[in-house]
Amino acid sequence: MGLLTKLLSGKGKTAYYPGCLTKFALPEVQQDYEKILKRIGVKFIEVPEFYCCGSPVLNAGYKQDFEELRQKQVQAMKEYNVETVLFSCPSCYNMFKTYYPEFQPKLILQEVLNKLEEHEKEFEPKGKITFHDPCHLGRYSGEYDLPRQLLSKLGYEIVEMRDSKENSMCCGAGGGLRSNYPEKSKKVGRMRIGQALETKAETLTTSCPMCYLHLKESAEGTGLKVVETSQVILNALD
Amino acid sequence: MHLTKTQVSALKKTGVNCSDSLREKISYSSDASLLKKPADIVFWPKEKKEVTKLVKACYENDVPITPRGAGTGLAGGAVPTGVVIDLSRLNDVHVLPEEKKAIVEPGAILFDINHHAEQHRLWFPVIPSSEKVCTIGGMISTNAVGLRAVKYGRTSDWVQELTVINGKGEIVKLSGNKAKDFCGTEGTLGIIIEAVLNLTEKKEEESLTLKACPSIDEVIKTVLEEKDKASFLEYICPLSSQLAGLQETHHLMIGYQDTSGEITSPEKIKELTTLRESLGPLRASAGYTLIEDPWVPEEGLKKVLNWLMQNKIPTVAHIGCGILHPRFSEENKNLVPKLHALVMSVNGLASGEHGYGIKKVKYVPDEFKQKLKKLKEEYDPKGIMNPGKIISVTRYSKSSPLDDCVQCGLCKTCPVYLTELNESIGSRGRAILFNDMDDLEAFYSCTLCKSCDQVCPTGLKLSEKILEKRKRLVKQGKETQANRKMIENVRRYGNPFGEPGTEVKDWYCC
Repeated sequence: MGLLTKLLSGKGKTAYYPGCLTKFALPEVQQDYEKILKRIGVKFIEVPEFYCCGSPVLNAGYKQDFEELRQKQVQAMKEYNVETVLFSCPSCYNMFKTYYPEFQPKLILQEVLNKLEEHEKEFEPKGKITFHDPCHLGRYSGEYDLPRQLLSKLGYEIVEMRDSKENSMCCGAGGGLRSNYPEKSKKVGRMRIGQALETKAETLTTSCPMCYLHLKESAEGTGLKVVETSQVILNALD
Repeated sequence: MHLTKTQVSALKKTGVNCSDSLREKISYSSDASLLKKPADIVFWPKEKKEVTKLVKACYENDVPITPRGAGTGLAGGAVPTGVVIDLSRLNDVHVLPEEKKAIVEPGAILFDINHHAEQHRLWFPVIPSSEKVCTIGGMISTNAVGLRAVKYGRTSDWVQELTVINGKGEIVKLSGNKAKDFCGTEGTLGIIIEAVLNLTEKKEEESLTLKACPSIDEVIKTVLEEKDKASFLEYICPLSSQLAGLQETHHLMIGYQDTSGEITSPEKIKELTTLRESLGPLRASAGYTLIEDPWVPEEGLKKVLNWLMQNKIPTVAHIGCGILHPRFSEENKNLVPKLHALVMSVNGLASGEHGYGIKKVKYVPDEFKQKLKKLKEEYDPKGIMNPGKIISVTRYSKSSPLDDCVQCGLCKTCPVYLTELNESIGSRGRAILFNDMDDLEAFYSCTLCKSCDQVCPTGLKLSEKILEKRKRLVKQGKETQANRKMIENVRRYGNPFGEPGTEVKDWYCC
């Protein structure tokens, strides 16, 4: 596998980087994004030597460790001739955008939207949906319209929560809160779900593995469906 | 003052959630006045009867109390003397749409009250710029005014009934003039535990006029003509106009709830009202950090506005109701007493909306002082309610905030603050603690979500500061248990979870 990928990578140069949480905790989401990439005709490789992007490391304050990790990552990707990196996780995307000038980072959501805009296919109207802005996609990367354009293109009616876009409320899991102070983290998650329930939308979607896992857990027993945006895309494309 | 052991144990015996750890003492030591004094103990009652219990215990043991809402006041009303009773967890909101009323607890945030009211197309129309974080208890205590004061007046005009705990620990119901008199007394008479508010139909501006005026006479003439039709009437002086990128002359921004204004495009209206809101931070970042809030009667406006212009003090004003907001810099702050003398000479007031608190004690009008003293005999005979404010002076030190932080508290939209309702585990508390403490919980209970950066009027990037602090903590060998586990995995496996296929139990990410 390693040798074959290396040989093919001469032409590939575009890698999909799922990120730790997706790779370890949400293999089905990783598969979904791979399916989506294939559906829209994007060729990609996955670098077998997997290293964390360094977000939890840097955010916890381990600067030295981050620098070492970054070096290993760059080396591994360079070995496979990677130039462009595709992301489903906005946190990894933001890390690459900020700390890995060696590569060109791209969001899979953007690739999907570009593809949809090339074709004039109309999607049948679907129900109401609310979108939770992941902090790393919104306030960190300024991508507020991208997920909304994509969802409405797919036929969804977006209903906004009380706090959205620039003023969105964090899911409560990031920055190490979930691992360091799980109880505090869960309280924030429940408050955010409260805002989603107010919209009367049946479904909340978000495009970050951390927000997704945390909000899904926070919504248990409330009747609100929490889905990763990859599922919404695949359902509409099928 | 320091409490005796007997006092402390009597208060703790009430069983009300409290802390006297250094972290809480410091994070509750200040408010937006930038004055400070450490709190003796901080209490967080969750129920009304806990407030009664606490005040009774304080009365019996002669312990001074400082009631506190969001701590966004600019005059220092929430800077502690004795124990702090943080009322933010007493925050129920109940809207009665048929009666156009809301029954609220003191810690309810105005934005939440209006969020509930809007479901019925109603609102509480007195809306200060701190609406997203300020509590109704704080608004009543300072008798807050908002942007639309020219149409809707001030908080006291919308308070129908108050339930308060007086300084003896007794429950008192106030309505009519008694309720009105309680407004603006800044916690010196008692603690509000419930308020009945009147609501009205929500009506936003449909049009707006931005008028350039060549002279102050023209400004005043227009104000008199438009005052009864406008829903807001804002003055921007030539210097402030220039800072905002407008022509360097006087401007009036006039909002209408009908289409009589010149601009009707919602986007343009939004743009201009945002520009008006930006004038505070704009002037602050140009060095004019000290805000004043005198009230000037119509006949004195010309004299005061002229003086401000001659002295190059950038001023905006809720001119429809006579409240001016000049801003002074450190270099010209010696002019502040001169301004107040001038305001007094035209029968104005030193404070039109922020309250007297500590900062303006020397400008409190005699009449108000005498009235308050008399009320205090009735409500608070032992003088335990917020001493050192309005009618007496205590010494406080100056807060030394982190970088550009002005401790305004607008960043209390922090999700962790909103769920914990404890200053020390939230954005502004972190800023206050930043230089004084290495508390792991304070600095690691932040999600780095940047909501504080988003709203900060001075542009401070608190999230980056938190990261800096964390790096420093790690360097000093101060680590949390979860982070140590995470970093061991990263060092060994290159990721926080371990070998591929490991079941993920702790979610270290982002």
